[in-house]
Amino acid sequence: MNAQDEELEPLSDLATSAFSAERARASRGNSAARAAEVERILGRVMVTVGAGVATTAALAAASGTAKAAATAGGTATAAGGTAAAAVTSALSVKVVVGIAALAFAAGTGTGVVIQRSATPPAPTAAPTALPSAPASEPALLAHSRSISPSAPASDAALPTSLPALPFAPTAAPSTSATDSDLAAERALIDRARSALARGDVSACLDATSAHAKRFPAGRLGEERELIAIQALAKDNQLAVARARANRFRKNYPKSMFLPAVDRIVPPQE
Amino acid sequence: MSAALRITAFRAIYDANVDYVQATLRRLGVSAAETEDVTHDVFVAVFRHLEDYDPARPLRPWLFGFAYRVALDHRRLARHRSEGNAPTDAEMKDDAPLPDELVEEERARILCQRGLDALDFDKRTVLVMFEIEGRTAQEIADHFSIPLNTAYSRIRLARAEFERHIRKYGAPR
Repeated sequence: MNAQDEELEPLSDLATSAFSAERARASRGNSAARAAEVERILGRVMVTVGAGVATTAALAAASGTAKAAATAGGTATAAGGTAAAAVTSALSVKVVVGIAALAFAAGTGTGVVIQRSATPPAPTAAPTALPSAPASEPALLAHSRSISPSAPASDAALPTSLPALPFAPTAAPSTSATDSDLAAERALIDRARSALARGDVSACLDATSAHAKRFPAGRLGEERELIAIQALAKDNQLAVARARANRFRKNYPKSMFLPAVDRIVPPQE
Repeated sequence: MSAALRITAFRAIYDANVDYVQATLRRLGVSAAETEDVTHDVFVAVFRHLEDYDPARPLRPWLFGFAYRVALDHRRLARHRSEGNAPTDAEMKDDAPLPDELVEEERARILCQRGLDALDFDKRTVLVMFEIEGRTAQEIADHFSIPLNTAYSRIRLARAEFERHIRKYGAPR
């Protein structure tokens, strides 16, 4: 910290809550769809860097370790220790041990490690984690056998993803329908917002219509309407924007966005 | 280092940080539809530069450097590209708070994104580093290779602009 930090004016409450909500975002991925996405990206990266099939066995070993550490979900030292042990047994290169230990430490330290293990974590998971890890390897090795004979070294012939990677969760943890609805709502609103930000009015309005259609009583309706009104105004569809603004005032008389709506489409006397 | 070892190290980094990298990319303005491709690009770069990592230093700022550079390149290329239709944001809630709190947080988060959207890339980066990641002004100065005083004035400017924009979108109830 620097003395000049104190000279910065404090943030408004609104900005403080906006930043703190955004800070809370990183630790959220835990659905089956999310786990599949994470595995898919990893598979693509491995194919791109040419580490596809030839090194699958190493990947299995690494993931077994990662899985054990994730399942244990214990302290950073425990996870780092597991990683370090596995790495040193393979080859003692100090740098790698450092990287692996740090990666785990960073993850567990900030709560970002996703519980991606096949067995749901339990309070007693730590001691049983290691024995369960090798169980995932046959599946992965079988997968590697199925694709390796035809494509020994060519990246081009590899699939673009590795669907049978280990430690995909058997099921998403109990997330209620409302939570997944909200995530879906957010995805649509995000799409509308980023389209508007880059000036693509029609993509923005497509997304707001999709949201309105799918979530007529959605919880982010105010956000949707504000974004749509802005897009319409930007597109010079002033009559439609006005009608929509009037409906907004009627539907959300206490909305925090009223001043914004009034600025875009001033209320008529 | 051997291929197997690289993968061991890489996998550990990937598993523990893919969420962080994706969140960072979104914060830096990469759209939901393009996050997967850009994440791929970031981790390919990470894989290829594993040897450059100094384990004595924290990992996340090192990863941020990759995310920043790839997002910057992507931004230059992506000007005219339009977004795909399917929402790809597969994030779901864990440890969900009560629904009302959730909605409030969601709103605040959208507000944050909109405020960031209104900034240019440098100011956006400054706020992501300072306000969201909690990095110091000195780190920002190092990141942009600018004097510390300049870093402070960029923080001030970025904050003021952010405040102005979010006030435009949402007034306190």
